[in-house]
Amino acid sequence: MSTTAVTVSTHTEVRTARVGLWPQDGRCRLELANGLVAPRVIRHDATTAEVSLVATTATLLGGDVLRLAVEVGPGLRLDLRDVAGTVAYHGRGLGCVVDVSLRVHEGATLTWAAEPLVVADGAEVTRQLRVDVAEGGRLLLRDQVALGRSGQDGGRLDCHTTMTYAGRPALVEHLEVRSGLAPGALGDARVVDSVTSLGWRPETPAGHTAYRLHEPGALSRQLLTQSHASTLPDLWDDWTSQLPPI
Amino acid sequence: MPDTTRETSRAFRLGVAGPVGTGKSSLIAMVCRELGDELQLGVITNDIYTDEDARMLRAAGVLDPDRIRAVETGACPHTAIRDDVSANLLAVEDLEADFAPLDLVMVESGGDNLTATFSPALVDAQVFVLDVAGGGDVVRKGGPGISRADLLVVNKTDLAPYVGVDADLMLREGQDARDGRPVIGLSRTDPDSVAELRAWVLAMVASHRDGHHVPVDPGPMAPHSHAGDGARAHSHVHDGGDGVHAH
Amino acid sequence: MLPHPEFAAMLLADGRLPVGGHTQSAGLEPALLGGLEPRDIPDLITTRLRTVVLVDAGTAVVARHRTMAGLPLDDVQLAWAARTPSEVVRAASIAVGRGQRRLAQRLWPGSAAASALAPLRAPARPVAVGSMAAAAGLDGARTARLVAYDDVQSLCAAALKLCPLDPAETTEWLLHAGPGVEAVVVAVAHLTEPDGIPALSAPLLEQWQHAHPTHPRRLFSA
Ligand SMILES: Nc1nc2c(ncn2[C@@H]2O[C@H](COP(=O)(O)OP(=O)(O)OP(=O)(O)O)[C@@H](O)[C@H]2O)c(=O)[nH]1
Ligand SMILES: [Mg+2]
Repeated sequence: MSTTAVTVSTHTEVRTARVGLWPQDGRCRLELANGLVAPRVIRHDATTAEVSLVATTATLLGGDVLRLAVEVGPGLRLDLRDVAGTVAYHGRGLGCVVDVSLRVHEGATLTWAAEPLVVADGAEVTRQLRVDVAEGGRLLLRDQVALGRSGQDGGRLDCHTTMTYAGRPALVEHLEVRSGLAPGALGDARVVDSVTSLGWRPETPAGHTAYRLHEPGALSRQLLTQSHASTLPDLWDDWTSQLPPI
Repeated sequence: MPDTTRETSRAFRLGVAGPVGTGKSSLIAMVCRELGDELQLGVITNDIYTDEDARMLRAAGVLDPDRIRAVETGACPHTAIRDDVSANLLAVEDLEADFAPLDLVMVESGGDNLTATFSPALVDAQVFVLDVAGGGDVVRKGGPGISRADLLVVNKTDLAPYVGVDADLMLREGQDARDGRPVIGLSRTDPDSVAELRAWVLAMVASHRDGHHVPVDPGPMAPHSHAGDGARAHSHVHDGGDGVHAH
Repeated sequence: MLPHPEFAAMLLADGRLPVGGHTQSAGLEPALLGGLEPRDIPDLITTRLRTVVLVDAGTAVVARHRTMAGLPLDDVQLAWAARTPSEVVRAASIAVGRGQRRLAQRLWPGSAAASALAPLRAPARPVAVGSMAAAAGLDGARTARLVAYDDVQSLCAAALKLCPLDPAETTEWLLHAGPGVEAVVVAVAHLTEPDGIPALSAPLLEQWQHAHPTHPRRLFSA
């Protein structure tokens, strides 16, 4: 929905990593393709699959475009996880792009416990996250972004997020992450850790806070100076356990 | 539901104003206790710095806590009942819609000085509450609420001997200042006075229901206003379609 | 007969407009309760103008456009809601939006604004303001300026109640916010589509405001 101009080199062809889970003959079929990340199947049965994402190159450099498209067909469940976090390095004047699209069809479930995206000094990252959950579909997403490797101030990250539920906008955000923003934006936080549910609204356990989205969904977010201080792993476990079985 | 279609079940709206600590919340609790069985009630409190009034009333257990709602006034209790009644009006209408049909909604003003009175855009009638402990000469100081509120209550008459006030004199002066409008000397320890208050509220609700009651604006918060000066100028309430104010 | 647009803009920007605005502090009281240092208040204004005010001003401009075009406002309200994830923040905006709608219906009965706002269950403040701006004859730029100015002046007025300050000082803040307000105008005045409404967020502001109703001692509702 929102557009931004980003400087990336376009001479290399961008390969889109794909994970698709589709119903077939009463079972389900996985459709996988490698890009800057490569999907690895951990588990796969009649209606569910678990897939981890492994980086195929060291990391994100200036000019890189990491494109990932995930789609879960009607009634199925996909659990996605990252093997490791992603570091965006100094771009030497070139920005890099992380472009992720998640589609959850009717009655399907997608969970993704994403590992942190770390923005090192000199990196300029634009992250586009597009999520479309169809009526009756469910998403649970953990999303962490962090400024700087240890001892660094970190570069600049612009997260453009557009989530829809049943075709209606549910969460649209342009989140700027960089140091030196005026008071009220991030404070002294270096880490923005979020868990989002969409298509369903889990109960929030005591000790946690979550926004009730206008559409069915919830967002719990922590602004932290250190990522290990986050209590969202607990919330993740709690919310995961509230997902109805497929 | 759009606000515009909420006209259907309008309660009798009664404002309760008066200086800090004179007994506004206590009076409301008393009305709830006395009339809760025969009338459907709701209460809005205006809080100056806390939602103490609402909590106190909920704790009193005289009314379903959901029927007691607090409205923040941005430190402007005057404004919230007079110049810009929006927040209170919406709260009243929400109560009326959520618990329809209500007979009576009482709105407690944040305790203020002698000059604050309710806008007729917010309430149908209002009670102005003084107490004997505020001193015997308060009534003589006057003000739009004292002179022209639908009811003047001189509260805590039981304390009069202890604070050296002649309660009867205070009531007489009140009557003089009010051109025959009602005055009640009230004490929670005096059942007759409680009965008098109860009867007044019931009569007002009945008169509203029959369509006889015509709201009367006690007038603006003119400084040092005195009885009978008839000053009606300078209201910030948009009470006319032309939006022109008299000055 | 439309009022002169300058006159209409002044009327709508008046802090005493009876829409319930005085019950809110434009996020200042939540910020102070959340730990903002009073000396950082001018910087807080900057943050708001770059983020939430941009969202609200964009929403108002699009609501104005849609009202003029005779289009429904549901999509505008949805776009705003998707950019305002906290139910507490949405509720505070809606409280004033309803007051604003009531006034619009009173001042301009039978107008496109009155009929566009009527079917909404409860309009967000910028949706109601934008629609009302259409009725009052404001263009997109004046509508955006109105929203941004109102946010800053509400914050400044609230600051006087919350902190020991010379009223001249908060007026100075307001004056100095002028360029930031104009930047908002430039960014959103041309918008016509809900999808184009800016979505810049201020996560800390949001957290502070979300926590506001849990504070036992507060003067303002937001
Ligand atoms: N002796 C005596 N005390 C009373 C009476 N009515 C109220 N009080 C006391 O007066 C005090 C103030 O009463 P409230 O009802 O809280 O007064 P208020 O006008 O609502 O106060 P604010 O909302 O703070 O302005 C309380 O301690 C009451 O118990 C009465 O009839 N007699
Ligand atoms: Mg009280």
